[in-house]
Amino acid sequence: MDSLNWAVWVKDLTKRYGDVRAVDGISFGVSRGEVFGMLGPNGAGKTTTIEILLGLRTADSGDVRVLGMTHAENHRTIACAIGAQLQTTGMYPTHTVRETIQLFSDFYPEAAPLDELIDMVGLREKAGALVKNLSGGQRQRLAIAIALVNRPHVVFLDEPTTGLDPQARRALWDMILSLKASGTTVLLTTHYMEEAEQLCDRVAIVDRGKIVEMDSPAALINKHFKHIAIEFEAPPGAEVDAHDLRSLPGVANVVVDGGKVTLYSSDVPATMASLLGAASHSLRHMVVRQATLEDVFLKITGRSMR
Amino acid sequence: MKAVWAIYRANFREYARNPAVLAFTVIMPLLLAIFLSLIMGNQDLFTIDYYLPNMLGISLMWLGVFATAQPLVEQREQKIFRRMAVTPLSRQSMLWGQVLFRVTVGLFQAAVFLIAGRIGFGVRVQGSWLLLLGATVMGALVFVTLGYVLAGLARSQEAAPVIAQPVQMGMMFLSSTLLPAAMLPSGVRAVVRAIPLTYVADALRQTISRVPPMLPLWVDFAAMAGWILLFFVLSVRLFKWE
Repeated sequence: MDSLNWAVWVKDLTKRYGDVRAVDGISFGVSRGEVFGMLGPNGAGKTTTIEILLGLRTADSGDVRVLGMTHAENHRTIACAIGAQLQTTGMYPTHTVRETIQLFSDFYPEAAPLDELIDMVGLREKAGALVKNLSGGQRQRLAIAIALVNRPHVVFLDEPTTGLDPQARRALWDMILSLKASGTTVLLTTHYMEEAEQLCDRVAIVDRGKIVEMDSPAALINKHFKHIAIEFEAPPGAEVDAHDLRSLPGVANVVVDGGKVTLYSSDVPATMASLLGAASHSLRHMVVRQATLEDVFLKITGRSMR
Repeated sequence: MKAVWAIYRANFREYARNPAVLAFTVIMPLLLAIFLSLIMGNQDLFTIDYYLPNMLGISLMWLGVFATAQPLVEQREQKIFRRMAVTPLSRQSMLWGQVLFRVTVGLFQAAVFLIAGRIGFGVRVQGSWLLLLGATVMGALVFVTLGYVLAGLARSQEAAPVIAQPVQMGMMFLSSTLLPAAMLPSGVRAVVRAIPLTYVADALRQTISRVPPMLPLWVDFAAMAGWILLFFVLSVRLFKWE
């Protein structure tokens, strides 16, 4: 496929701030109707990439297309076809929810009905409340509503659930999944692995301005972990000998991150038996679980996300 | 056009719902005009005829500071312009909406002053209504463009008053609005001519109450046009939306 068939297409994108290479040669494509996640720690270059895709910043080099168009040539056409939720969504503080949505609707040639948007983000009861009196979660939902006023083909969400409580996060996930169901292309950034696993068809793991892996969450986990994770905490002060642990039966890999030890095992009963038998140090907070994207990130970059 | 109107209305809402800004742009200068004329009014020159137009000039100046520079810096920090840059709204539409809103506030201020002057003090407009309208619009534009320059100079919300206060205080005392230029020390008198408020107030005095002119009316208008042009050019260079 060439650049025209992708909802979003990025080729060899770079952006520097002074000496810092914020984006260092990123390439990816998001096909129409796909939910694509950029996953990485703060400062990985996710937001810069989104801002370039939105036309808020210009790239140093590389080719960036949204629905086959460039901002240099078709900024207005792109703006009419996309929606965005920025990390900070600026809104007038003494406007009500309803007035805020109406204001943004007025910027577009065509807009979705106001009440439909208010209901979609569940702000019916807060429709008359002033923006400055909203909670963080309500504000975020309003930000999503104004990202959808023009019934966009492509929606960019920059860390949509950061700072939300678990319940609000779930509600937002449902909203994103219903967008996907309606055929909207979604590009989101997050540093929550769980979020990427739940929502995304494909994820790009971004670290230090580069994409280090890109595939579906399941494929990434499969590729890196055919194993079950056994997690425990070493007692304070105890020396953890990764080499010793690796020699236990069934253990394929060992990651020690501070006091937290993770064994990846292909034979859990054997590993557990010898681990418990050889438990010269008591094992605290032991958990046996499937590998997650978090493990993938840890393995690839050698660092945990937060 | 729809977008210009939307920006115009949104700015009006924020203005009308912010009592502090309303107080600074309308109520305070009006009260000042009344107090000053009551305190100083026993001397021939310092009547309401002198202070009403002057304080209207000051209220237009405060439109530039409290309803232009300050909210622009705040809205920039709140990333409101940045969010709008992601929509099809053009910068020109945004600017038109904002400036039209502020000129409307200027006309509203003039209307309040004239009605209060008429009811409270029997002040009747002595000059041409058309020239008064022109002086109000030009005066508003002088300070609104100045407001964009100040918002361009102030890099943060904290810096805005630091930059704006000396400018507006200086203009208030060094123009001929509180005391006639003739009463200022001779060394300061030269400065009076270098201050935009001097010309705005002189034009308003001449069109509202025919207080003896400081300068011919056409000079006031020419000076206002010059200030608008200068501030416009400076704001294009200095003002940043983000």
